[in-house]
Amino acid sequence: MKPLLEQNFYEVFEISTGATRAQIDQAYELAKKTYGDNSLAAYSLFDSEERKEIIRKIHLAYETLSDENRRSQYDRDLLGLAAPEKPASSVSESVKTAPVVAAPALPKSTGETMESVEIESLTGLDLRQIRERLGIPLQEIANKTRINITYFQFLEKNQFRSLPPSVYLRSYVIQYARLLGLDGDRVADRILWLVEQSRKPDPI
Amino acid sequence: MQLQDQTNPSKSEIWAVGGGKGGTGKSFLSANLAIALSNQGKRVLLIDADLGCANLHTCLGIDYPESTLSDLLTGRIKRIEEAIVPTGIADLGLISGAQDILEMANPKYAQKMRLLKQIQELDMEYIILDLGAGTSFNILDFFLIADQGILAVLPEPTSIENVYRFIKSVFYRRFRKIAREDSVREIIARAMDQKNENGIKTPYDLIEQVARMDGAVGEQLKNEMYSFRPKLVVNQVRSKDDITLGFSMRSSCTKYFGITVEYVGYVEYDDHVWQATKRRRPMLTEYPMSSSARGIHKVADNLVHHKQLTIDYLVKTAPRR
Repeated sequence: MKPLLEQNFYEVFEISTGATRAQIDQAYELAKKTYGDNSLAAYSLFDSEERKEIIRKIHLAYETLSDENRRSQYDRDLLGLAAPEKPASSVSESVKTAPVVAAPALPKSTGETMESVEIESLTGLDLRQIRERLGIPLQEIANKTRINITYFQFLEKNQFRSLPPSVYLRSYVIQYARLLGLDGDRVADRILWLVEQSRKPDPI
Repeated sequence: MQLQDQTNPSKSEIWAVGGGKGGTGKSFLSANLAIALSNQGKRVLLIDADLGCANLHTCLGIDYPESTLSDLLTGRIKRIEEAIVPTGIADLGLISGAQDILEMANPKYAQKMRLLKQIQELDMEYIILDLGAGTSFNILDFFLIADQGILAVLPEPTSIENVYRFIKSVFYRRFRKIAREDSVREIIARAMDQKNENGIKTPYDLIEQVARMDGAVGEQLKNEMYSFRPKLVVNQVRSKDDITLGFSMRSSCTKYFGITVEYVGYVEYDDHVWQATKRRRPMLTEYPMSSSARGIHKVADNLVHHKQLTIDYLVKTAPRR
C-alpha cells in the first residue's frame, strides 16, 4: 500500500515484475481507459488534476516497460537488479540505502560462510537455509514461540497463500526471525510484502 | 475484513450482498446466487437482512411468512430454526426480514451479534445475507461480519459513486471499532467529511495521520486495509465497456483506497430477468439457460473457489483494437 506518486512502474500497472510484454500492453490499455476522460470508474475518486497525473505516469511507465533495454535498465537501477521493491510504508530512507545487515554467526562446520543476509530480497527458502545452517530444528522454534509448526513450514516453502492473515503473521515472522538472530521487523516487512504479492490476482 | 472478536465456528460460509444504492440488484443477486449454490447440492440459507424493507420472499415467489427476523430480534420466537421457511427449492431455506416495525430496522449491536451466533450454529454450508440499500451501521456491520462481502454495481455513475461511498463507510466503521482513543476516533470521524480541515482525502492520508498519533493503531489499520477484499459484481451489463468497468473499478480502488477488490463476474442485461421478476419467479429457475443465468453461475463459481476474472477473460471476448 503506497500513494501513487511513490509507486514504481509495475505497481502503477498492477502487474508483477516478471510480466510479459503482452501483459504490459493489456495493462496499459486498461489503465488508459480507467483514468481517461470518459471513465466512469475514476472520476469520483480522483479529480481531473489527479487523473492527469496518473495518465502521465501511465505513459511514462509504458514508455519504459515496453522497451526491453529501458526496462532492464529500470529494473537494475530502481528495483535493485531483479529484486522486487520493498514496501515503502515500512522502510525508512536510511534503511533503503543500507540493505545489507549483519548475518548471525554461522557454524563453521557448514564449510560455507555467509557474510550477510539481503533482507530486501530474501524469501522463505532463504530463511530455511539460514535456520539449517544455524542448526536450529524447526520444532524448536515452534516450541519456543508456541506457534503451529505448519505455519513455519509454509513460510519456508514460500507457500504464502496458506499463511494466516497478516495481522497474525507479522508477529509470527518477527518471533521466528529473532530466533535466527535477524531483524524481526524488517524480515516481517519483507515476508508480508511477498504474501501480499502472492495474494494479488493474476497479473492483468 | 472479519471482526477479530468474531470467529466462525461452524463450517458455514457467510456471504453478504450490499452496495449502497437501491435497485442495483442486491436481492436479485442474493436469491439467484443462493439458487445456484443449492443447484450444486449445497445447503443454503437466505436471509433478508434488509430490515424494514424486506422483499426477498417476493423474488422467490412466496408470500410474506408469518415468522421473520423481527420475531427473532424481539424474542417472540426463541429458536432461529422456527423462522426458516421452505422456498420450494431443494436445500434452500429463507428467513424473511422485518417489514413493519420501524424500530426493528435498527437493532442494537449486541442483538445483531446474538443473531449472528445463532445463524452460525445452523447446519448450513452457505448463508447469504441480502443487505438493504444505504450505508447504515446495520448494513455495514453485517457486511463486516461476512466471510465474503459482495458489492452489486450497475454500470452507471450514481451506482458506482455509491459503491465507493459504501467501501469508504465500511472502512471507517471498522476503523472506529479498532480505535479506542477519543482523539483517534475524532480524526476518523472528521475524515468522513470530504472537506475536512485535516487534509485527509484518502484512507492513506487517514492512516498516516493516525499512525503519527498512535503507531500501534496505525499498524492495525494498515493490516485491515490489507485483509479487506470486497467482491465486485457488475449487474445489467450491456457492452464490453460495461464488462471492463469491473476491472477499472478494481484498479481505481487499489490506487485510491489501497485495497484489493476482486472482480468476481458480471450479469448481462437480459429481458428474462424482467419477465421472471414480473411473474414473481426467480430468474435462475425460470430461465436456467439464459445469459444472465450463465453470469450468475460464473459469479457463484468464482466465489466458491475464491477466484476472480482476469483481464485475459476480457481479451478473449473483446474485439481487437
